[in-house]
Amino acid sequence: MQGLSVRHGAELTLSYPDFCWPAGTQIAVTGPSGTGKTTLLNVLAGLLRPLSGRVGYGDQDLGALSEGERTAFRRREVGYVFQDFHLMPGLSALENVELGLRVAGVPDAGRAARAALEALGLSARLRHLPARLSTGERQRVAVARACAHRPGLLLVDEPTAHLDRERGAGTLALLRSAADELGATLVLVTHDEEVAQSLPRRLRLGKDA
Amino acid sequence: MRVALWTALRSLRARLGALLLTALAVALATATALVVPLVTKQVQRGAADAAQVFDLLVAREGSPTQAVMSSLFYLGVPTGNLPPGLYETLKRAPGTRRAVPLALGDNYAGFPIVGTSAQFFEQRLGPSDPPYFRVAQGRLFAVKREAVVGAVVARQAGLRVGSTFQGAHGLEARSPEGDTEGEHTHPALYTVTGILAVTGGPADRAVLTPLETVWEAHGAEAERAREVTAVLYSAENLAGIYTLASQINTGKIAGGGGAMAVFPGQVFAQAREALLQGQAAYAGLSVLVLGIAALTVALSVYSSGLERRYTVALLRALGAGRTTVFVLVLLETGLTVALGVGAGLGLSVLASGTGGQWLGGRLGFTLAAPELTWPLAARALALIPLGLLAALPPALAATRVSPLRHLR
Repeated sequence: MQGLSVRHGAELTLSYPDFCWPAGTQIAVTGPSGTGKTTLLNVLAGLLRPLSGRVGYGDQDLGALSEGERTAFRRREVGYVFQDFHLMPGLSALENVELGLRVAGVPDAGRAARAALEALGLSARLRHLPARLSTGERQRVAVARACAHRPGLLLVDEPTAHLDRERGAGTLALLRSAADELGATLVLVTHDEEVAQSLPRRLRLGKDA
Repeated sequence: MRVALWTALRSLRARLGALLLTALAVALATATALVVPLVTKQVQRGAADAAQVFDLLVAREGSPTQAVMSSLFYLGVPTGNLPPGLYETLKRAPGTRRAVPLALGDNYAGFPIVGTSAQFFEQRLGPSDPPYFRVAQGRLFAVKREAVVGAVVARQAGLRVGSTFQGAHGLEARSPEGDTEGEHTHPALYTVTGILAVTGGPADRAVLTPLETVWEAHGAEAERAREVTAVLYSAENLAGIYTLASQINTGKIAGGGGAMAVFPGQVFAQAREALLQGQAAYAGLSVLVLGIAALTVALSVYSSGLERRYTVALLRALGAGRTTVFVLVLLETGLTVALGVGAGLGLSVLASGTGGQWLGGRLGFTLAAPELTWPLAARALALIPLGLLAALPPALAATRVSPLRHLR
């Protein structure tokens, strides 16, 4: 990231510090509310175009990509675990993961989705709709969907926000091991300083950045 | 495309209630639009065959439709008996090929007893066609009190060759309690000598017997009282038929005063015209019903908009392209309408098949299975492009959905 600024709403413009990291790094993005942590994830996911500056991924400048190219980048390279998970309510756990794989064009998506969920200990919950899963289970389904197509960039928004300390630590370990296994860069937004401290790199946003 | 189809099918499953209601509305509209034309076509086909076999009907002056219905379809009351002697005159007229008498007025178990001659069985659709009426079992009647029965009569009344039965006065069967003046079982005991092959027409439910049997049953042995209800006339050539028809209708034939000549095909064509006018009004109503169904589809498309925006936003966030979400919205609507139209086509064939059987039973001929033609099916299939048209604006809107706005 270099000289990055992003329009946030009608009037506010968010500016980000320059930051560079090698592929496979695990980074915690912290800072007070309203400093643009989630917005940064959206820029990295190609969902939001920067106002100015450069966001490089490998040799690509995400800000210079067309809308279609950013969609293809997201499909191929990005796994995104939303803060509210955003599972499709009418699809089972298995189908939610399969949907992500189908969009990514992974062959034999059904089998791959099953394997991803089984690896996360959800083999007994494959046919359950999200409404019948606990918060932790829904989060694991979201993680499975984000990781199953083996992305190079894993973006996670507030993974411990809905969980108690013990479950939060479990989720963090799960995400870190998934990123390790994929060799993916993990960018994790958190309010929790303890969570941030557990990751090797940190990017602090806000006045005292 | 495959992602869109996969998602559309699951999205529809998730909204099963709404899907079924919309499909049901489309199915009912489709069936409403198609059942009457289907049944009408069945009746037309059945009646056309039944009417085509007779060239000219000579009956007592009155309503031509009533004469055709009573003499050829055995429905309703005849216009009366022909003037005495006219049958004999027609039989002997130069150029006559056949003059087949019909004497109506009795029944057996509700089936009309038709007094006629053996020439009845010589009638054919075209000069080179085989005889239209064929005995499937036994033989034709030869003498008084013998009878050839139609296939339906034999089946429903349990008659076989050699069976005997007693006729009754009156055109319809009545219960003993309802036995009124002039309606009673008469002494004539009929013996079945043959059973007609199925024609699908009114003859299937007729009992055919020599004219003399009916006269005898009515105590009309005296020459003077030997009346016939109608004559089916056929000449050696077409001109002969028209000449005779003209002579009868202008009262220029000896003893023909009070009679009329009717071309069954013409009467049938007039009835068909009237039917078509009714059908035109019905077609207008059908368009209205189909329009309401199209509106239901449009409402369904728009009412599911909020839910769809979430699905589309998520798909876009996962990396689905604009084309995928555009096709997804069209597919959801297309599949809903196609399901409704498919069910409607099935329902209309089923309903017209059942309705046709019922109506055929009432009209006296066996109606063929309903025939769903392309022009008819196209009326319902037109709903699919209409539904897709209704889905076009939301499909275009889906391509502009911002994932971030709907995934907060």
